[in-house]
Amino acid sequence: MYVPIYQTPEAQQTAQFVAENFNNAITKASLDKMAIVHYARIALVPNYNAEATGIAGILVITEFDGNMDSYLEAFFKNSDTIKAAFIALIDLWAFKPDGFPTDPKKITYDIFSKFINDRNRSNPADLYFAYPQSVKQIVAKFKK
Amino acid sequence: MTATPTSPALLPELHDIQGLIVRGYTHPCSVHMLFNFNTDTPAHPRVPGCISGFFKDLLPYLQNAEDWGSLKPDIMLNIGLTAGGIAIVRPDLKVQQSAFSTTFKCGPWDPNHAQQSLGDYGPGAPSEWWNKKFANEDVHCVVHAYAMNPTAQDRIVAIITAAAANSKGMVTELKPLNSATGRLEQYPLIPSDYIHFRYRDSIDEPDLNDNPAGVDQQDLNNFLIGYSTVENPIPGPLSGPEAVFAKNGCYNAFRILYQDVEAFYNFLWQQAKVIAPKIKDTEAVAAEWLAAKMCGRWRNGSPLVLSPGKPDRSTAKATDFGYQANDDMKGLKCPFSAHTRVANPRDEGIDVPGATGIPAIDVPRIIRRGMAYGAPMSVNPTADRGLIGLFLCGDLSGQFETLYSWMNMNNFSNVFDPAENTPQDPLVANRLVPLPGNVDPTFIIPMDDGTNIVVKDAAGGLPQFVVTRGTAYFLLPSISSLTGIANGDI
Repeated sequence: MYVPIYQTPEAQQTAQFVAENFNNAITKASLDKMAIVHYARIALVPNYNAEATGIAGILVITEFDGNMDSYLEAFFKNSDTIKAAFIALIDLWAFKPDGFPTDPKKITYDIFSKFINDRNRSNPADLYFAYPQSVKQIVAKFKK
Repeated sequence: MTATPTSPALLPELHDIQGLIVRGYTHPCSVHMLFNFNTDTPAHPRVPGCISGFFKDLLPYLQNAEDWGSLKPDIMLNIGLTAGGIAIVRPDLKVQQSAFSTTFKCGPWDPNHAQQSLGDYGPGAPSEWWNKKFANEDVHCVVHAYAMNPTAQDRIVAIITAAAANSKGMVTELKPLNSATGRLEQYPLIPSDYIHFRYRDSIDEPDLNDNPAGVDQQDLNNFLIGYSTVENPIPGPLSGPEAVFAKNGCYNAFRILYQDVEAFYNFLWQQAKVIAPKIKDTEAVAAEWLAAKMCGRWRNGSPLVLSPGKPDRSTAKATDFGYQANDDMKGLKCPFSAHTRVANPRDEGIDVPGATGIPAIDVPRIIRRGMAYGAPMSVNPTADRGLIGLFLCGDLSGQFETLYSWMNMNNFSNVFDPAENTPQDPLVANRLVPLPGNVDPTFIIPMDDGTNIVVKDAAGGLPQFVVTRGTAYFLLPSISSLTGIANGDI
């Protein structure tokens, strides 16, 4: 998922903060509890335009089990941490359509899921994977 | 896009809701006619008013959800629109940028969304759908026409055909089958709960309680758009002009499933030879026993968990039961991957992200309004036959696609060993889904003595009994939204 961000000092600073603080104990606990995410990271994509510097956008790279749409609802309803991270991305998102809400109280599930789905660059057919097992299977297998 | 929500109604506005959503029709005849709208290209410009005229001609027969009294209408219809169809009849909604769900906008053939759950491949792959007579994107509209007898069916079909013919080429019927009419027609005058595998169908449907604040998956507010008053309701869109258009609507995952009855019966009889000595009974009994284990109900409808030994007329339409409540958490009565247990695991326990532990909230439900097409084997052994599936839901992804993903990869419950590959729904699943490849291709029947009967053919798995012939995602808009289209100038 790629989100181009505002080219303001505040937005650049927030993006840097989000990237540096994404992988923390709370995020890990939230994702561990979901037991579908193999890995997740946030990468900052720099501006390569000669006339611009800093960060062009934020890339969320993750590999998970199953259909993403089914689990976005779980993010939205049951994981405040993950939901807040995505809503922070909405706040930073440049080229927002007029009237697109940024107030978390006004971001309904359909707005939340549409934002993520419409920016998702995933193409499962292109994905190389070394193993077909799910996170749940792997974790359970190594507990045996 | 704005975030202005529409106001929910305290009671369902039955006069504005298409009848199909709220009640199952039991008309003995029905036809499900697909249409393409002119997309207004320089080579084929649109004639204003002609698509609207098509809708105007159909409005007198459009059935709402109000009680029709003691006499069923002789002929009637309901109408659905795909995202592509809405984009044509309501260009102002800018559908692709709108708050309609991504999977609705992308369509059921999309490899990055719906197909991640539906898993159609090989002969059932989206590239093969509709017998390759037209492209998936060509489907813009479905007209579900119902009639009390074949003569009345001819009459309503003639009315719909004339409406398309009056459109000056702006509305074109799409005929997907290789039959005489090419249309998706219910095989006439057979019981409405008949399916070609000869199980009684349509037994268990959501209650559709009209409680706008309800959180039960069966409540009407979980299906009807704009009716829920709960925080963060799922049926959407809920904001912008698209919310106004979609209010009082519901989605229809329209899916045509070919049923290979010959393969199914051959499989039952081949396996019966192996199973009969294990259950110490005849091959005929073993074939019926296996058929029941695969479905989770006997042919007459009796659930295995209530009637494990044999079918029982008194339980034939039973819907109020659980697996935990009836001491079947080892699958000794009903195997874990039996079709009806996967499609509605009840109190079995759901282990997916966000599960609450409350079955009424965790288990997705869909409204089924399907019927059989094609002649039964006994009438014409070589006929194309299967199911015209109308799976109604408020959330295509969270309800329809989630249940389908469970059928294809039975990984939603810890009744299976979470460390191992899990078996698929033996009746409906797409076999050998190429990704991610961690399914057990067999069907496992736990036995009282602690052993398992592992059902598989010579190739080590189960044959493909069901092949997808086509799928389209429709919105069944409100009567007022359809009237608005009819009164427009498209």
